[in-house]
Amino acid sequence: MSCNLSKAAFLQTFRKLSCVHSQLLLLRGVHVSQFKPPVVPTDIDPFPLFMEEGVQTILNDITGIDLKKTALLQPKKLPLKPVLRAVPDKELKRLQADSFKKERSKIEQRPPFMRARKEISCELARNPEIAPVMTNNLLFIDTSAFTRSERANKDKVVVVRDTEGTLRTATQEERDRAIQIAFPVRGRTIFPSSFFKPENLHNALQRCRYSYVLDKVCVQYDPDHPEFLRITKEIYDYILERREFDALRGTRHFGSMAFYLSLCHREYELVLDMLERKLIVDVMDYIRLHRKIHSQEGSKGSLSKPLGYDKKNFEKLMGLYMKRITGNRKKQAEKMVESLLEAGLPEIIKENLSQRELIDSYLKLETNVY
Amino acid sequence: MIPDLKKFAYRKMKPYPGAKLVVRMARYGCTNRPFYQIVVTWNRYPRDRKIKEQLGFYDRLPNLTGEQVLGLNLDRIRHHFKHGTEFTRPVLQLLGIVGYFPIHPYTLVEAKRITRRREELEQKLKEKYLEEKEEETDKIVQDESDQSGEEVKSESVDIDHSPSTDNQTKTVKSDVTNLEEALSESITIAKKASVLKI
Repeated sequence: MSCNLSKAAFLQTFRKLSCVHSQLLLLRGVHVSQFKPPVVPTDIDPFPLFMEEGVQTILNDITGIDLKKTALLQPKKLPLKPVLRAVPDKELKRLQADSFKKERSKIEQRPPFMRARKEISCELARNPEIAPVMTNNLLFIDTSAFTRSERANKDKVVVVRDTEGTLRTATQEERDRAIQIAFPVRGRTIFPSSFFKPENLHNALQRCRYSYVLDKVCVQYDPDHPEFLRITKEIYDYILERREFDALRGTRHFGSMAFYLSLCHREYELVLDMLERKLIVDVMDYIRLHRKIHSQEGSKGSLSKPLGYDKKNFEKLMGLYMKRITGNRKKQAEKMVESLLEAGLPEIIKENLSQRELIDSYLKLETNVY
Repeated sequence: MIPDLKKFAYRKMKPYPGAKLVVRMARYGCTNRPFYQIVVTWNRYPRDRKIKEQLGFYDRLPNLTGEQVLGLNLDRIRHHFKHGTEFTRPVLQLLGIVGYFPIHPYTLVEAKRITRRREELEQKLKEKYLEEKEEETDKIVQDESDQSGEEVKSESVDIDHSPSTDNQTKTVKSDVTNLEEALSESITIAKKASVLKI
């Protein structure tokens, strides 16, 4: 085997894996990669697309809310004693609604998918007569943002006086460092830790700690940092290879991953996964999103209205989608659809919709806290 | 109508007669590790205590990336400057280096001093090097003259010393070109070793 894991660790990861495909890969040992990593297209500007309301609601619906999983994923510092309370039904509903709302607010804080930021450097002044005094570069940051209302990082002034005496605006790395010194974000280090080096990352990913790593990356880097893009791409590709989408379902990274995959024309595996798990309403939403992203009009084109979720529209959408797929995949997809139709589509759709309505009802309940 | 003088009240509240507000550096940190906070205080108060407001920080020692870090609250500095607080020279120098104020004349004076010290260092090193070289060449000349003298005595009187003298000039010229190369090395070593900002 090519794994670096011990026997016990191997068994642990095997149990954690949610998908047969990934289990097979683990057993075989992922040596020879027939996997082509997806390529992000450069002509579409992803950020305005991502931030549209329609897109965000679809991503919210696709991720859903899974309280058990998020409870498992939380890092526990101290072993807490479980609190047992006897509570009337109304109160119970209220408490559940509170937790749902909290979850939804966390999920809505999903890292946006953006392009890498551009390097800015602008010379402000040249004073070579000062050069002998400057033994080192002087990094200056304007901390007046503490006393002002606007707090955007892009507006903060960071300026460097070189050893040659030139005053220039700081490079992006210098800006990050200076802003972290003066306006520290909790959990962020000024110099990136060895956690994000490829070997250590790979270690964490082997143990299926995807959302843990992604959360750390979100804390350390801004979404338009090139390192952030590189690391998230690596993780999403790793998940794609193993088809472990269920690991992220219910966390706030699922939406960005789904967006990334549909941008790179690799949404097929996700669609298959959803069909296998009988999430047909999610499939319809996701295909609508995919069509929207790749429509000719781009961000100006509006999302097609959510038609009723029934058999007809499902077949229509799947027909439209399968026009683009060719060969083996088409046969696979057709098989899946046929099996679903045999199993009884309308009932499955009813189930999915009832789940969604449950979540909506909890979110709409009026509570004091949220 | 009674004029609203409340906004001027804070300037009137003085802890001791003749007190003036001052923006200056308060040295914190530890032994051999200075760290300055740029601070508004009354001028007679102890350097580090009883500050009215903190406007920024200055770390004089270079960090891992070789930078000195300065942070200033420019809004509040502007406010205090408007209301006539005194700024000490180092603070004004820093503001000039940063570009918020014009460059302070004392920075130019410092720069001149440093360049003068550098040139003096270079001169000293050159002189030392030349002295050493002269001693060596003197030795060589003495040896050669002894040898040539012996030869003359042994053979005949009419022998020109021109080829030997030409060789000596050639070696001196090559020494001059090598001088600069060797000097640059020693100058850099001296610069690194010196505690002053040379």
